[in-house]
Amino acid sequence: VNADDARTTLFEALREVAPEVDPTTIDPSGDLRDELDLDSMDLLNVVSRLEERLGIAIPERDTPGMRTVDETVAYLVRRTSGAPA
Amino acid sequence: VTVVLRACRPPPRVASEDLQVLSTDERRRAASIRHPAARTRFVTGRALLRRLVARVQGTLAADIRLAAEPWGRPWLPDHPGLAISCSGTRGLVVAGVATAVSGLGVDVERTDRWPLPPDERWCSARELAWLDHCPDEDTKRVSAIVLWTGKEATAKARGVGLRSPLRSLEVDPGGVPVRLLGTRQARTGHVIAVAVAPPDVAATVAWHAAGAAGHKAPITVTTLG
Repeated sequence: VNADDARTTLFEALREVAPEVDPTTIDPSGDLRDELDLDSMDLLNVVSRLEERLGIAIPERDTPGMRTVDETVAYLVRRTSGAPA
Repeated sequence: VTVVLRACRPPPRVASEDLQVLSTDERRRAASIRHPAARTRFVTGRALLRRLVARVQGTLAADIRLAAEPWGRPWLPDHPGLAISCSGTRGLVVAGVATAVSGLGVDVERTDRWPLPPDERWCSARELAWLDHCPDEDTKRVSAIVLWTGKEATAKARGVGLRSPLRSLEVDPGGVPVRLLGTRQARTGHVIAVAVAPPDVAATVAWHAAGAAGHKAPITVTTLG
């Protein structure tokens, strides 16, 4: 997927996990925990939804590198282009 | 091990007496947190942790030097023999301090949330079997939250965070009981897990379920290495 599609997919997952917030208003370089008041279970829930939507497996060791919208979008673009986990 | 709990004020109120004991860096960090609830929880949690350490060390809360490891675990550069940990969720923060251990982890979760669906991503085969034996869906839901909380506390105590596979941080609900590590009655609807890592054991976890359907407090367990 390209960056726009990755961002759209991420926002869909974030809206499902935290329906009370609008992910388009957050700082893309801010920590998702602080921007959306997500905890670690929420974040793993987001990761799980990204896996389902994009058909990729995201190992837990990669999740510390997905703290922000920008980091997550870059990761998803890289992984869906065939780069190894 | 001493664990203290404190209810969070409804955001966006941040208590000025809490802000006063924070360091300049912590106040800067708090100001950068945009979500009001997350900001309130950070300030309340850090102030609680500082006051707890101050009580144990006989110093002033504002004078304590707190540092953070790369993935966020707080530690005390001036008191290397003291292990600390804190956690927060909606409405409640928890802080702990321990001596004579190599690591301490505390974690708190609300029981009214939907947990991550229990599967092999974060549960071992034995844990999944245990959850499958829950008598009803609500008990299973709360039990999954209890498991998660125990794993988070264990990961913190071991100093691995959630970088290590959650499946390997197996929590055995039917395991050998250990003494409950000092907790007080929490607000109804929270589960609190406290894990310590003695030098020769991976981690031992105990948890305290307050008002959780299907769980009578205290529940004690051990984890496997």
